[in-house]
Amino acid sequence: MKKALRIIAAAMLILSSALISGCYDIVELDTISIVTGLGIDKADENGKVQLTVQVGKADAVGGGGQEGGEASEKAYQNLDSVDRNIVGALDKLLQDNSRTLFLHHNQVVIFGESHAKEGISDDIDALMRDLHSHLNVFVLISETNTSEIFNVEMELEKIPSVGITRMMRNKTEISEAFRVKMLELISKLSDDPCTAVLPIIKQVKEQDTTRLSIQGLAVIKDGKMVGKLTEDQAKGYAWALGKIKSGYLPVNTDKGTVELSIKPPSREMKVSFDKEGIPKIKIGIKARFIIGQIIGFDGLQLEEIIEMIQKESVNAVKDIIISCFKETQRLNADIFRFGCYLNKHHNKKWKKIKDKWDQIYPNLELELTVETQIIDTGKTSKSPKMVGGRLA
Amino acid sequence: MIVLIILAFIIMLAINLPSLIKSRDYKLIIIYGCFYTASFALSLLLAMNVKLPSILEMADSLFKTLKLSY
Amino acid sequence: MTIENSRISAGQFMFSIACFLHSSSLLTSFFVIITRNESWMPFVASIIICIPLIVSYVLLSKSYPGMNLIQINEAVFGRVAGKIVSALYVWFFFTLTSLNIRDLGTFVNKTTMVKTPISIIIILFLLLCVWSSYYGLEVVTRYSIVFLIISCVILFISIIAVYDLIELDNFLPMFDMPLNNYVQVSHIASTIPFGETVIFLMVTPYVDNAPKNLMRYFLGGFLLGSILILIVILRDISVLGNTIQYFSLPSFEVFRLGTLFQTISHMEIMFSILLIVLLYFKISVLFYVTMLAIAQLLNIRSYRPILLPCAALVVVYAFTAFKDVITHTKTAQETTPFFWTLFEILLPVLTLIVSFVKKKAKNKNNRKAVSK
Repeated sequence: MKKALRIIAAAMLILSSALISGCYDIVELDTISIVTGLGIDKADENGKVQLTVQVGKADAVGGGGQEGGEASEKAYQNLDSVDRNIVGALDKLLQDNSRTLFLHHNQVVIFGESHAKEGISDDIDALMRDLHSHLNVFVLISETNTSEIFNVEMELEKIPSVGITRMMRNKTEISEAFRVKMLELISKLSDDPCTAVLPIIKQVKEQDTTRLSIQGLAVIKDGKMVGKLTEDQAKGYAWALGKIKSGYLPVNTDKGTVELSIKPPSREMKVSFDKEGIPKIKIGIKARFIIGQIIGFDGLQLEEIIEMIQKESVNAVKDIIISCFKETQRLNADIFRFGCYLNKHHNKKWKKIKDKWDQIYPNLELELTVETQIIDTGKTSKSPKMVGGRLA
Repeated sequence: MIVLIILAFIIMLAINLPSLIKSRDYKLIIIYGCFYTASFALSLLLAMNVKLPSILEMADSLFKTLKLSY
Repeated sequence: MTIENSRISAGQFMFSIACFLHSSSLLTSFFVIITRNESWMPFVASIIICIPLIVSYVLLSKSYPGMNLIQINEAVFGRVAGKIVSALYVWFFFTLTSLNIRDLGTFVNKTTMVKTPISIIIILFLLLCVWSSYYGLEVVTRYSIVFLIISCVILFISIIAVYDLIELDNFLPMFDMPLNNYVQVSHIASTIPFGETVIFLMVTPYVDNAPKNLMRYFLGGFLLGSILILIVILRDISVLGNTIQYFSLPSFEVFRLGTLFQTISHMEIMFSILLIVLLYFKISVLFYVTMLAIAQLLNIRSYRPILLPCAALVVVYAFTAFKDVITHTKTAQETTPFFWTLFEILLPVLTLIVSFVKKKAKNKNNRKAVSK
């Protein structure tokens, strides 16, 4: 009798594990649509936002069996709606959709430029509060409407937003400063100075095809976009933070040009204060390069070239950093977060100048010391032109 | 909702009452009866959405008037 | 007379204290919001402050060996006053049980099962607690060491997963906030996680080899549990930095950010499992102690018959204690530290002092009687 009771109890326990998801919260895979990208723009109607949502279709991506050349089915779908803010727009999308939106696997959030100029803090609040959104999404700013960006087909990627994520990973290979995740954005906008940078994505139209390109950085101050940095200035920003990992630096001399391949530099920052408490920032960068390409320099020896290049490369790095710094001073946006550094390391002195930082920053003195070292020359040491021969 | 609560309390009685009566411990039966009626009444009141007073909130206002708070 | 017949080993006792304390590590949000990225400093201060408190609990238990807290109250204060003090304690344990189970229900509702009504979640958990309390102390604390090992493993995995997101810079600036904040957080940390260990005074008589090595095990469990919470706070601050002030469940966000080997991500399910397991342990210990205290106070033979009605009372209390989560958090930050101080610090210390005075008076009387 006892044994029978035990068997019945065990069977009931095993059967009840089928109810683990609960009766109320069962979610089947075919009742949700997985959102892979979110785009937020300024709508044509005043005071409203346009939300573009890119939804990946699970069966179209995973399934095969389509013959090559027949792009029969798009693996994604773009939905958009216009409403007073993000939350309202997401709600509206439920009306037109046969499935509920599942934001958990969202990979990229793109803000339109015109919307970013009015402020993104409110949208970030909605994205933080939502239960399913997570802080690992990439954040970008687009020059055109995000619905156009999401419609650009990529040859090698089935879903554009996944393609954008992979492009961001490529960008991260150049510098970690170019990749901004939501957590970083929130952290930067919560602290003095409230500035951040976001990468810009744009469409490049060539003849019949359009492709996407991520170039340059947008400068955000107090939650609003105030300016842009070109790709070179963006590289200067990465240099100043010491976060550049790869890429090429061209160094021009009157005898020729050398493209130097960048290896991660080391960077030191020191702050000295003058009598009134105004800081003076000293950045010391030790850069290391590998020679990528030698152009010109007929008939010179390798050691002479390296000597010339070493001096010129110092100027090249300084120029690139200072051009970026001057642009930020013009925009009055402390994107290098010197204020944050002062808050952490020189807390008491920062408190005295905190309120005047907007006046201090455009006149801030930056002292740059750059040391360069060419550690290697690649697979070959001499270039064919140097030996006096011709590579015909 | 109220039907469920009444059902649950009847089941509770069915589980506990036989062993209680067998033990003939009258003190225990009286105490059980007190707890049973108290919890039955309060659950019904809660299910009928009657607002029950909260001791913790009263203590909170008491401490605040005594200025013993941050 | 003893209501409880089982005995637990000293190791079980120590690990149940550690597990009990570690469960509070997942609900650190209400004091982390006040001192943000410097929360670890007042927390360490509160650990140091609570060590003498734990010592006083052990001294109280040692001076009346074999008696749990309710019996000690009666012995120290006499019958009537002792019963009044014990009734206050019973109300305190009851409140703790209800608040904790409300927290568990709210958490499960908010993160995992959004549409399920909270009452169903709470009732199911409480039925499980009733079942384990039915069989006594040994069953309730039996799995403490297993739960603790599981939580340590998950803690370790989470630290590896967020390793590349840790920035030691996030601990600066230090000493940036007004002194009041630090005092407030130390007070909250010493009453809400740590002071609740006063309930273990109900369990001490049933530990093997009590009261000989009690000090070692009580303090050991306390230090183990509090250091685990400290590790969790340090991990949260170093990953989230100054964004920790926004989230109501910082550890949840940290688990969401972590990635293991580039493939395993969104590990918040591990956090949910951990929270449910640890909070369940805490609630079942609290529930058992409440039942034991009621049975001891009313001098009845066994607490088993009153388990179910009291469980229903706990459910009702859980829903009526506070209107909503916001009031609960605000009260926890502002007045609850003072209120709990009454039960966790003032009453036990008062009991200890009165028992010393009584023993001295008794010794004097004995010496007088002997010398006569």
